[in-house]
Amino acid sequence: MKLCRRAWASIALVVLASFGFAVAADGATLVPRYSAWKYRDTPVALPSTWIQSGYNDSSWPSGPGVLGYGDGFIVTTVPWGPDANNKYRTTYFRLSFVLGVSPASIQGLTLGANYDDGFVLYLNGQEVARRSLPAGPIDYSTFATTHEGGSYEAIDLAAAIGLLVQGTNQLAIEVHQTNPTSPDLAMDLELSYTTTPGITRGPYLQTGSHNQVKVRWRTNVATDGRVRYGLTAGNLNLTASNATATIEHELALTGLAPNTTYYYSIGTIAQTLAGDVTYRFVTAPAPATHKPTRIWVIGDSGTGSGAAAAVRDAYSAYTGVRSTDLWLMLGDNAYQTGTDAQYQTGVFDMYPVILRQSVLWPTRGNHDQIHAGPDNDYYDLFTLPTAGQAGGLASGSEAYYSFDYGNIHFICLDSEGTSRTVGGAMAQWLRNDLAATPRDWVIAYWHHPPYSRGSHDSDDSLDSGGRLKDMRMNFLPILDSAGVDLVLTGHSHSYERSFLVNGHYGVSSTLTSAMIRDGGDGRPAGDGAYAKATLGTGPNEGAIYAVAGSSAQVGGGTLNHPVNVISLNELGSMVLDVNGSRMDARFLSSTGQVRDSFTIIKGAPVAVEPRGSESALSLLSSEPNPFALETRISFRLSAPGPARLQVLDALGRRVRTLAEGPRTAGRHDLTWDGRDDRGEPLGAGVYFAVLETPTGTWARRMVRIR
Amino acid sequence: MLRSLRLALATLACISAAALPFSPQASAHEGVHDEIERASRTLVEQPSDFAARLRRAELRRLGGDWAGAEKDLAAVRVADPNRLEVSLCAGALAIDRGFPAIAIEHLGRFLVRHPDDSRALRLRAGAWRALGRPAAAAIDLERALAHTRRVTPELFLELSLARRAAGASLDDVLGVIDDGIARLGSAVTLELAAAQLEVAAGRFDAALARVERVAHQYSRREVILQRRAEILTAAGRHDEARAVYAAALAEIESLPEPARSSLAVLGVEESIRRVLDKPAAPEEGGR
Repeated sequence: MKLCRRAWASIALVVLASFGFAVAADGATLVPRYSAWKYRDTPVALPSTWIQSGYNDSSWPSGPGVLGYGDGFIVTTVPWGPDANNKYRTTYFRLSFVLGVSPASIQGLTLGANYDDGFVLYLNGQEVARRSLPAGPIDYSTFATTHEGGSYEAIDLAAAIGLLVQGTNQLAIEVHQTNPTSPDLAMDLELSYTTTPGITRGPYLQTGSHNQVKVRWRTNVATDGRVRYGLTAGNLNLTASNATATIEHELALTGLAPNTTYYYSIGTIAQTLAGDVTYRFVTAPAPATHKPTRIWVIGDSGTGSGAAAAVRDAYSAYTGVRSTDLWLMLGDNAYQTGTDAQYQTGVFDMYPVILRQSVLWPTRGNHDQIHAGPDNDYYDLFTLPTAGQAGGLASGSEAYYSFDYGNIHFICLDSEGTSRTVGGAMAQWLRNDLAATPRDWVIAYWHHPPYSRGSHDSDDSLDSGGRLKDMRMNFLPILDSAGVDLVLTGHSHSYERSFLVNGHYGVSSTLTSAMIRDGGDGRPAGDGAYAKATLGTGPNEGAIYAVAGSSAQVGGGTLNHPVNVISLNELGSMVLDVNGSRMDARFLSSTGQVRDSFTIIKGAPVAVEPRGSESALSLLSSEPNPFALETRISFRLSAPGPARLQVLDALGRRVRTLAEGPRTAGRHDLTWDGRDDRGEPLGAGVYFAVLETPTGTWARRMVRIR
Repeated sequence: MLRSLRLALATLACISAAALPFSPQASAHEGVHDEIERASRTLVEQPSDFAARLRRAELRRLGGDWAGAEKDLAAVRVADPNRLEVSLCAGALAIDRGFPAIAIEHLGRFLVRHPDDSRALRLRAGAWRALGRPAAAAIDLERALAHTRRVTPELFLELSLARRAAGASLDDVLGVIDDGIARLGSAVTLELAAAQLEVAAGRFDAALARVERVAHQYSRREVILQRRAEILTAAGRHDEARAVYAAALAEIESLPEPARSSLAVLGVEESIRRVLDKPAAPEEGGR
């Protein structure tokens, strides 16, 4: 209960701090929380008339909500019978209330339900809501599926407005246990109505690209929908509309200009319900173009707690007026089970400003469970690209997808609910998607970390059903071979960040120095930035792995995985800045301190000249290429001086030194016989001739064939 | 033990994520062993908490403690014979242990009362496959497909494989994938699988059309051009194939130099060069 109150308090603060213009709906609360209810604990079923307004409940005891037993937030304890191992399976509650207005004036009716485990609610003798119980007839002995109380789930009862009468109305609710020994039971309701439409969720931005974005929001009553938008806040001259009445609104704004700020408002076709200068977004840059890009990354953030708010506020202060181009949510977005109500608390009420300004790209965690029945879940609440709408290949699934933002290709994988086998559809799609992307950067993200010794241990092959191990063994080889730059995960409630690493697919004890492509800290002011030769998808040049699962809570663990440069048990989030061939990443604590940073620079230090560059061809060449037995490597020096000519393999390892020392000006020809320094023949594959002189470094690609 | 445990986990992974009858991850901020300990503590306090005992059984199954899982399941079964979740969990356990026939018995009991439970149906389909009965697997997968709230490419591919193994016609198998495409859009995994089936059926133009449907999604085109050329080669249209191979090679050569060193690109390039280095084969004419 304390947590719940804190959460609601923080929500109120968030709402007050959001500064958005939004129309408040007119209406009233018919049944406040903590109202006094009559209750009946009984070992047998009541007669079917118990739900009617005329039923005589005068002998029933009563008490204020929350009613039940076994939980700290219970106010009125309801008996469960003589046997703690065979508790009453169903408990009955009744309450009457007075409606003072004509039902014809009511447009929305909303229930807030705090329940454990399942219930059926009746209004004036008719069923109007059911949760955690099977469809169809049920009786006293029907068990519910497990549901924990403590929060109030919002349930739309608009369909029941016709059952209301002006005057006295009767609510009746039967609450079912999940089994005879269940330790707790809870029931409290809040019922309110509205006479005008208002915004209850959002807006939030989804599936944004350089030319379109989807705007979603929720209203308290079913209305038509309209987004008004334009290039200035004062001239929203464009519209997108939906004439069908709904409470879940989703409108696509298409034909947008790349890298352009749009202002917008949301509402009905007749009326604007929310919108001011903070309702704005910037479209993605045109594909393949460069733009300084800021990305916010949070993981395991969905508690709706003060800790989550502190992480959010630290980032808000850090970024200031610099807008966030996009943000990633690494799973466990709403605790404990990802219900609609928990998403309201953990996401929509927690991040209202960034939700309306920056496109959110989430992945699913183990707490974002899939709910059968009417309760919304992850896939209901997010609109994610299944058809390559924002770049990348169509996956046919919202569970895993990709998108482009300028020169960055993002890949979202599903480590929770999709087959993680090497032959599975997700792996097949990933191989194709990586082969098809020409972008300079590849950032992949999912929930379960391949390397962690935080609150989860990636060395434990059974941890989380083997998900950590599966992702490491089955997906990292695909990503390595395609040149991924950064992998972001959560799950462990810590911050853990690796060296530049390649080819580490086993447990931590199998890590070798050869797998660490750069064992420095990656900081320009420290050991130096990480350098990757290829601006684009250079294979096996190494990637950085970061666990960023401490955006709302911290866990334990030994925090000593040897692949990591740094491991912190601190609240925080990650901030990524990508500018052309440079990426700067920071871990920002909840107190606003940068606790870690690293930089990756691509296209360096081996200055590989663009293919077809005349200067490079004349300076350094090899012939024949591809070759089988030997190739002649030629280079030209404009002035006498030291020069070194080496052959590197595809992983950047030196295999042969062909020349080292002073050289005269002019042309030099050397033959490489495909052998290493020990005279051992090397296999078929890609090699690089690398020439180093005082004036620069050049490389040529060579292919040895059999 | 370790090997059999690995095998079990691999089997589980193959069966798909839906193989978990319950969701022990629901409370997971810990490893399986920690969760087992937590469930055990609950059971010390409340030995008759059958929900906790079932949860521990499932966790023990995941942790490879099959005997422990059996013991928990037996305890629940004795105390409450009507608890059908026991059959679901026992079915999953039997699959882990390599007893698919027993799994089918358990899952059958569960499915009598819950005939549309997609998790149980997909589990049983895995057991049927393990028994070499793809037709039965296909029936369960069809039912799972009909009763899954959100269909995925995986489910259509699983069903198509089961139907094919059961001897269904290529058109029938293609129908499954086309149903997936109709419901999920032109997902690359579905379209390429369908193109492969079209080739097997000798319908090369149809295969090319399917490749074309996804080709526009490829910003880098060498792989999809190679696929197109392979289909043309299979069709005996060697001149066209060589032209497309050459186009793929040109795409590769236009890549920035470092990108050409990708193992995937290198593989594509070498295989294309091998084809182009061969003398041109005569056209077979038939389309």
